[in-house]
Amino acid sequence: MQRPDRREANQIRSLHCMLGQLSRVDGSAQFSSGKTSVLCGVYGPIDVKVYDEKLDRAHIEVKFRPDIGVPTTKDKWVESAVRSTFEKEVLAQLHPRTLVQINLQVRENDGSVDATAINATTMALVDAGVPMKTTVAAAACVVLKDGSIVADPTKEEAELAVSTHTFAFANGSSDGPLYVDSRGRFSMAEYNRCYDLCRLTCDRILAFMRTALESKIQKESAISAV
Amino acid sequence: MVVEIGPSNIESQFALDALRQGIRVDGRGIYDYRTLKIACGPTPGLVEVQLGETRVLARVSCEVSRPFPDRPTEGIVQFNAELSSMAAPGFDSGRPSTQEVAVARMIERTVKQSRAIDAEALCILAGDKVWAVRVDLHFLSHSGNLIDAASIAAITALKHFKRPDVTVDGEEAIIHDPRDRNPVPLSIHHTPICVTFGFLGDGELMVVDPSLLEEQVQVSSFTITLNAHREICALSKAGGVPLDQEQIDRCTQLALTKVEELNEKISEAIKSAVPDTN
Amino acid sequence: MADTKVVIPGDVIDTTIHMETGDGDDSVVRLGPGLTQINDSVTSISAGVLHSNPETHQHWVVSNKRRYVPAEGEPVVGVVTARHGEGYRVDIGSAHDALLPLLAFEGATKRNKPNLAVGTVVYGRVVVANPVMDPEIECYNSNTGKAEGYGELSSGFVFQCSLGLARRLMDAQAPVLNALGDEVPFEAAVGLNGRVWVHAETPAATILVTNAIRNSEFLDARQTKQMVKELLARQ
Repeated sequence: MQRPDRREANQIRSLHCMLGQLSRVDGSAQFSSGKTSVLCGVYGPIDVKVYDEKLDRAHIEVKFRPDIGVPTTKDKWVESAVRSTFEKEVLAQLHPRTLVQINLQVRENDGSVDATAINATTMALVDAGVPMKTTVAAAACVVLKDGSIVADPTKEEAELAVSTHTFAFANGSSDGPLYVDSRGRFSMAEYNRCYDLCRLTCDRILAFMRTALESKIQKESAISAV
Repeated sequence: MVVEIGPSNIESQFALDALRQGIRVDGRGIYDYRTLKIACGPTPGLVEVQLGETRVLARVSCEVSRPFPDRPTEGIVQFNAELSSMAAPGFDSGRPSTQEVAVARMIERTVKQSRAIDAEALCILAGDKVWAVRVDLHFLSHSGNLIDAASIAAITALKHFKRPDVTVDGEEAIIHDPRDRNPVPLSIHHTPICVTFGFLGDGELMVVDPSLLEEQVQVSSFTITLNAHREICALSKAGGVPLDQEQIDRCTQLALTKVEELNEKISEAIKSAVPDTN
Repeated sequence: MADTKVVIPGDVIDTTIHMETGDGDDSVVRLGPGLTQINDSVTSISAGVLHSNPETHQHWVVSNKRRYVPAEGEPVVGVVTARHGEGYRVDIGSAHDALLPLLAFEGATKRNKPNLAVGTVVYGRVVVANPVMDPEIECYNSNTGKAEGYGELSSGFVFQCSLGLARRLMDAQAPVLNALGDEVPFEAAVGLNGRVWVHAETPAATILVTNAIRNSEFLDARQTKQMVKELLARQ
């Protein structure tokens, strides 16, 4: 089966990441996969509202805004997905009684927007220097009517899908996923194939993240070394 | 809760001292805009404007809708402008601040009420189907003068946007997929652009395109909206110290030259936009 | 020798490489900023350049940030936000405002102490920094009783930069300070919280110094010299 944009079934769209382009936040990243693009701005650790204050760790807040219209229930769901993914990975106990605020803005949605939001969040948190146990990468895939599985679906492909799957994995760990979201009708065998595909894709995205961070850090350290 | 605290005493004092000598804290001249960058596309109607460190993203979209019963032959234009905590710490999306309401209202007055968009051209079938055009303004980074940046973003995005083509056959309207038939641009009558002035000290010190620090120190501000035909579309002076009539005249003259420059930049940006590859 | 091994969060650090050259007590590994122990391995928790000292078995990660987390002994530039019975609240850019006791100034007594208005800029030193308590600063050295340069900063200008740049500016030999110092007389107070106070003879000179320091963020020594030269030529 040929994909509309002539990609191979396991091929993801070209990745792009810009770091630190927002001036008012503590860290920011714009992460794109093809046309899908999400901007993330992170503050933290900052002062927290009294009723959100946790005595033993930082409170993590996520705000997600769609590109068109006002946030809906679906967008609230992405918020909770991002929060639950990062709540355990940010070392919140290092900064008790503070807030780590994650602001997400979709620039453009052409499918796989929740995975792209997770990837943008990772990069912005790292850019802000918020301590994290690991680097997180997420990837999506869909099962089509003919049973074929394609990685990083566009909006058009996601609409034709029988089931959609999003997974997030941690850097360098052979453990299971940090985040799983599967919808639609699928068999256990299909799920396992999606799991394997997303695992491979996440490794590729992690390698991309490492390169993006390396080039930024090496540029900075070359300056301070002089 | 992070409350945005104002500048320190020495920052405010310094801004005034420097201005009295005719210089600005960021090194600009009194009548200079900060560097303006406009990036269009690749999707039609997606525009990001960068005015110094201030960033605004505009997104135009459209859908088929039923017209308002009192205006059966006119399309619908909707604006949505919200300041989120992305733009600056302390902005709460739940409760819009006075500033937020002021910015959103000014943009709506500038683009919608100045009838920049030809609403009748958005009609598909009178009384039944019209295009509802939606302009979403996302404030990404607030470093002063959100109004000018947002007005440039909104009007550029409207000019850059293309809606699907439609053919009407009797009572039937066929909306063509963008891949079958090239989408068409909106009909725009004119391009209103806001130019904002800040007044500091006792109102005698004027600056164009106030920075965040200047906005925090200013005692009054004045926004004038002009189009390329040298017509005034909107004026706004919301409170603050009273200004002389001569000052308003001077602002208007200055704004005329600024709008000409800004209009050129907008046209250039649309011309050099990245084509949509899909 | 510049060691430029870049690590990202979750990378496991091999701390055994320097074991052979140590002074005998090989079992102790000292972890600095950016590293922690997760299960049985030393793991990076931030992205930056990994540094190791084989003599002391110390390992740490150097990274740049913009949000300040107070650390004892560090100089900071703060703004007074409120006055309480026992002291001032000072915004030093960290999550919580710092406490500045009323008597933490040179020569201050119960009868005679400085009276600072809200919005005043002070240069102080962090004396209490601990995640579960609000930080505390002092505007003098409590051991000697002398101001040692700390106290209220009047006139001049304050601006924000990255914490990495602030750290570089602490070095009096920082390229941008050197290049400027040869041409423009100015005073500066650098806070490790990323706030810098500058004061020169005229507003124009202060603005020049401010812009030069801000621009030096992403420039090396040679580029910095060139940038300062260009700024001076434009005067």
